[in-house]
Amino acid sequence: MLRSSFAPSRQLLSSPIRQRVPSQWLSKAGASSRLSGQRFFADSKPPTSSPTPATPSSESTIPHENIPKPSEQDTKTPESAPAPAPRKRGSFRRFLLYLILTSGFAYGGSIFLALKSDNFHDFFTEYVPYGEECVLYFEERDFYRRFPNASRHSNRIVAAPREEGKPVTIPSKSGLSWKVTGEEESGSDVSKSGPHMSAKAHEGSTKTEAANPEQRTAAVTKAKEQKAAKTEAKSAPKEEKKEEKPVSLDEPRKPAVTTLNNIEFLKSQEGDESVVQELVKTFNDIVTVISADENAGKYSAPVAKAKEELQKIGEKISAIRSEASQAAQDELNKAHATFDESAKELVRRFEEVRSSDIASFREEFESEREKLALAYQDKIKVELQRAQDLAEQRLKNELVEQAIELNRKYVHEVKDLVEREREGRLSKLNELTANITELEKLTTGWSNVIDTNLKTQQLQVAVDAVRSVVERTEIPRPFVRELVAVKELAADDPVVDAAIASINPTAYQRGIPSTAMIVERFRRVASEVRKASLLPEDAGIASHAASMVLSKVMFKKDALADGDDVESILVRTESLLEEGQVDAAAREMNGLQGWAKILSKDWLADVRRVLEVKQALEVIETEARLQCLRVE
Amino acid sequence: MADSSESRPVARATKPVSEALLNEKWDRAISSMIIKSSLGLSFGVVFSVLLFKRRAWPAWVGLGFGAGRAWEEADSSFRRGDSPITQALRR
Repeated sequence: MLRSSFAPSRQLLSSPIRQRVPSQWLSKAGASSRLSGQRFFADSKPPTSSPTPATPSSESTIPHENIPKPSEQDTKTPESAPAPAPRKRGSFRRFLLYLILTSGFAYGGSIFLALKSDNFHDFFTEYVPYGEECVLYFEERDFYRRFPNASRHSNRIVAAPREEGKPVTIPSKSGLSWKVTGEEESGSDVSKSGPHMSAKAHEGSTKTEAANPEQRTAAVTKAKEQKAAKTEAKSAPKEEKKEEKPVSLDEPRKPAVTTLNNIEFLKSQEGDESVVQELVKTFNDIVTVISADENAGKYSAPVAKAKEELQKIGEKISAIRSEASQAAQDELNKAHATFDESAKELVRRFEEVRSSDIASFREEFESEREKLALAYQDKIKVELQRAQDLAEQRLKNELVEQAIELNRKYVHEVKDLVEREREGRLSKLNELTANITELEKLTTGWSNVIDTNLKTQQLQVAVDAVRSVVERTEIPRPFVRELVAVKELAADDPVVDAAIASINPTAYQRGIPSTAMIVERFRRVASEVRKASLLPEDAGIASHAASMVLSKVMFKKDALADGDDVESILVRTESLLEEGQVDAAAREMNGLQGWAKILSKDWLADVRRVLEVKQALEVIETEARLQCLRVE
Repeated sequence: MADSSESRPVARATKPVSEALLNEKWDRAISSMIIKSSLGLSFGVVFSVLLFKRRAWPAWVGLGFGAGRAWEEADSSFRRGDSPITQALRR
């Protein structure tokens, strides 16, 4: 049912949609084609239209005129067909334009912002597509815009190393030529500070290229200037160039200064002393500074003087040093001699002392050994003596012990003898006293015998009374009083007490049935038991009824018959009861099982009570008789 | 003497003599049989009158129910009387 209902509904539902969808698609396609422009028309429609005027064949006669026509038509057709299109196209173009413009602005602005603020830069590069590339490109461009200058700078800086690179080989040659001047050392010292090093290199190069000292000084000055300029950064290079020229112009003026510098370096080489070298260094620095100045000529004379002074000082210092070294050498030699002598003396003395010591130690050793030997001998003697003493003492002790033991033995023997004597006499006395006590007992016991005799007689009477109550009555009667009397008479006799305790309390409270009553009751019980004699173990009402009916049909058995069945047991007990053996009858009835036992339970309890009472009475009687016999 | 005469009847009343056990059971069984079967019969008669348009069989069914119930009770009592443990419990 559902299917049938669904299927049409589906069709109903689906059909309009399907219809719509294709229509939409078509319309969209149309729109797109309109939007895209003439191509669609050029491909599909116009060809059809243009060929259809297959009349061209007719028009082919006038092709020149006709050819433009289709083109006109084509132009027209797009115009006519996309009459609404221009708006859309225009709007779309405008939209595209706006889009591009706005995006361009946005990107430009954001790039600008990114370049300005780091925070925005991070955001832009991370979240905006192509943002990172754009920003990178602009940054790189910015960097290159700055960099060209920097690269030129670097090039300049590199150029200098190139110049230096050449000198690197050359200084070795210059070093050879400058052996006497020993500029290398000073150069090496100066090399610790960068600028000087470069200056030296310049110097070296200048020397090799043109051995003129003037040029070299110029180079030095130039280096100095550079050093100063480096602190001033960018502004420096221009000044350098400016200053270089004046230096070169000044060349003819400065020969004196330059010579001074040369001489100075020579001296600095002479002074080995570090102090002198440092002095020379500082002086050199001063000279370079002065020479760097434009009016270096003014200071040339004082500088020369100072230089001479320095030279002198250096010479003096070297002289003093040589003298001092000479004196020190002499002193050293002297000291060596004296030390050698003293050492020899010391060795000799040491030898002497050692020999004397050896002799004394040997003597001491001998004496000590003797002493030790003596001491040990003494010790041995003492030990021996002690051992002897000990042995003697032990012997003495043993003797004393033996003496003591002997003494003790004698004492014991004496004591024993005395005791024996005494006991012999005392035992006789004891015997006499025992005899006397026995006689006394006999005399006193006689009266006891009479008493016990009386008691036993009374007991026997009481027991007889009980027996008469129990046996000679037709109706069961309680015999509590009689029993109480028996108990009182028996006093503390344990046998009587036990016998009375063995009797069931109900027996003496209610009395016990006589044998005649027991037999009579047995007859009743037997008839009941016979009714239930044929019952199986777990009997229901049906089996009870069956046994009740069937037991009346059963044959009677003989008394002598042997068997475990209920009937034979009953017959046997009956015969036993008639004979008077209640005890055996009870034992027989006790052998019954099941319902028979349950039915005969009360009868059995009665019989047992009777038997208990009879047994107790017998026990008491025998006890009384025994007591009678015991009296004598 | 007075004490003993008093004690005797009390004992007889409380405790049935063992040989009379079966007889008592029989008495009970028969009486319960009569009572229950009569009750069942009466119920059956009532039902037959009320529901079954005085037909005979509901009365017989009621009688059977009552008799069966009584039979079952008696049977169980006879079965139980045998064992000493239940006797001990009954006391």
